[in-house]
Amino acid sequence: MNNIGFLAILRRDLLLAVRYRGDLANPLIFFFVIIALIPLGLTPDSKELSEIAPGMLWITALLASLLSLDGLFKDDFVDGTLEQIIILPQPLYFMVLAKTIVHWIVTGLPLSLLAPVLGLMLSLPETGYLPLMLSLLIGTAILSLIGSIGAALTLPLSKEGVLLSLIVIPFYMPVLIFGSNIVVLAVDGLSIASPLAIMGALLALSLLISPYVTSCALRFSIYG
Amino acid sequence: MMFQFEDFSDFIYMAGHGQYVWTAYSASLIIMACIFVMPLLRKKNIIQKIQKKIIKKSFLL
Amino acid sequence: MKKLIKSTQQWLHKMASPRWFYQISGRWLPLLSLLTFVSIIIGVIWGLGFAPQDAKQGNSFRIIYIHVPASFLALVGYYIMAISGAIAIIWKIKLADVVMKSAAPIGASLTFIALLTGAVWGKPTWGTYWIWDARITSMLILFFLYLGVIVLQKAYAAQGLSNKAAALLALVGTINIPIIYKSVDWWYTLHQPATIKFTEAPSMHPDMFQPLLIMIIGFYLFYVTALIVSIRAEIIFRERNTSWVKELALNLKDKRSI
Repeated sequence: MNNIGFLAILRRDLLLAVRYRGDLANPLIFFFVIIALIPLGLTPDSKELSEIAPGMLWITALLASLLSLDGLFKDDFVDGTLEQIIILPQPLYFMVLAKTIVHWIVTGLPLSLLAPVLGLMLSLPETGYLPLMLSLLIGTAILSLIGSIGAALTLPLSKEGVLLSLIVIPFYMPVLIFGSNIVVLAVDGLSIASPLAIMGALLALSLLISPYVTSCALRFSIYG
Repeated sequence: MMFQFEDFSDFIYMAGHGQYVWTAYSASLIIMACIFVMPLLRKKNIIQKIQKKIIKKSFLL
Repeated sequence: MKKLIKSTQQWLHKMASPRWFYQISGRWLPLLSLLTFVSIIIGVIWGLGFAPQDAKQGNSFRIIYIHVPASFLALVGYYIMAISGAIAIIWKIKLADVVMKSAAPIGASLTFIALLTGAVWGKPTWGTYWIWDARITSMLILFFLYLGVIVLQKAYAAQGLSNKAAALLALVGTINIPIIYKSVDWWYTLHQPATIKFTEAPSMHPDMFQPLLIMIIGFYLFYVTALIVSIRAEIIFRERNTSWVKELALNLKDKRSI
């Protein structure tokens, strides 16, 4: 894509992410800490942990991704940059897409790469490591895309709290179903082709639709 | 098509399932009644407030 | 032909006027309420007392006469909410905004009724109040979608902002509903604990099916009536400072009617 707006926003957001890398580790630390809660709250037994590991890893990754969603547009909204971006002649669709991609690079990608290590902590069988990473890579991309809609919708609200999570989680449920299923199937030694294909389809669908819906929501947020 | 129960107490008891059927029905119908009645009360409230305001205004004139 | 288009345009323009809607709906409301009340009473009495009981589930099967119409209207109600929201954003018709705002709590309550009756039905049938089967889970997620729209609406209203965000959320939800239903269906078949089948409608005996039909019609009528009542209240609230509402208030003072 040699779209000027896309590349410009991509470069800008990546630069910002690198320069203000203090917050980058937070979702990862969150992921880590919650995974540590699970044996404490449930059981240290290896066998039982391995049974719930796929679902737990997926749910926690989902929550970590969800928590990082707030900052997607907030900083730019607060200092007025977002409005400037919106009134640019370049199509908003690609600029929103660029922002979402950077968000994924900064949160989803590290989460997915970290996941097998945490899988080890939950006694996930080795056959599950690669499928876990793969399913999370696709899944967190979808989450970033769908989540950007929620982030844009809650932008003008001051006292958000858990509102963003409430709105977005029902949309995350199909992703969770198929994503964790990929890992479960892989652990059982079965083929992961069909849920993987469906995840791919969901990714394609969200790539097409979410930037558009998010741009509409952003325009509503700024212009009322 | 005939009445399925022998008498009224049998109707209430429903061969052991009575508590479930009657709970479900009464809860649902109560909720539905609320959905219907609350806007009516709200409207009445607003209209009364407007009426009071108009009366007040006509006293001040 | 031109005349037809012009008169349709004029009719649509009138339709969009809250005052006109208030007057027209006022005329139809008594009849609608009566029809609603009658059909639901008939359906309830028929279903409770006169329909034969199910061979396997006994009398608790009678809950179907509330559960199925409620679930149906819950789903239809979501689409009504989403479509009126879409009309509000695209054509900026305020009445559509009012329709959406009223449709949300009605639909959410119907979903809640569906879940409640489903749970109560589950106890004598499967021995437990909650079971994660495909249909109940989908209905639960629909409930969450409703709650999301309502909560977002209230948050925006608290800051005095417009309703467009909630309408957009409702729209996105409509795309999601088929995806959710399909994926929950699929999820359930993966982890199927036992072959538990809900009553299959086609194989229902006509004696059992007829009261169900009456109840579905009754619930449709109920939805429309409740929606109109709620819209009227909201219209009066939003237009409370206009002259026609003040005139209406003065007239009502002498008449004492609803």
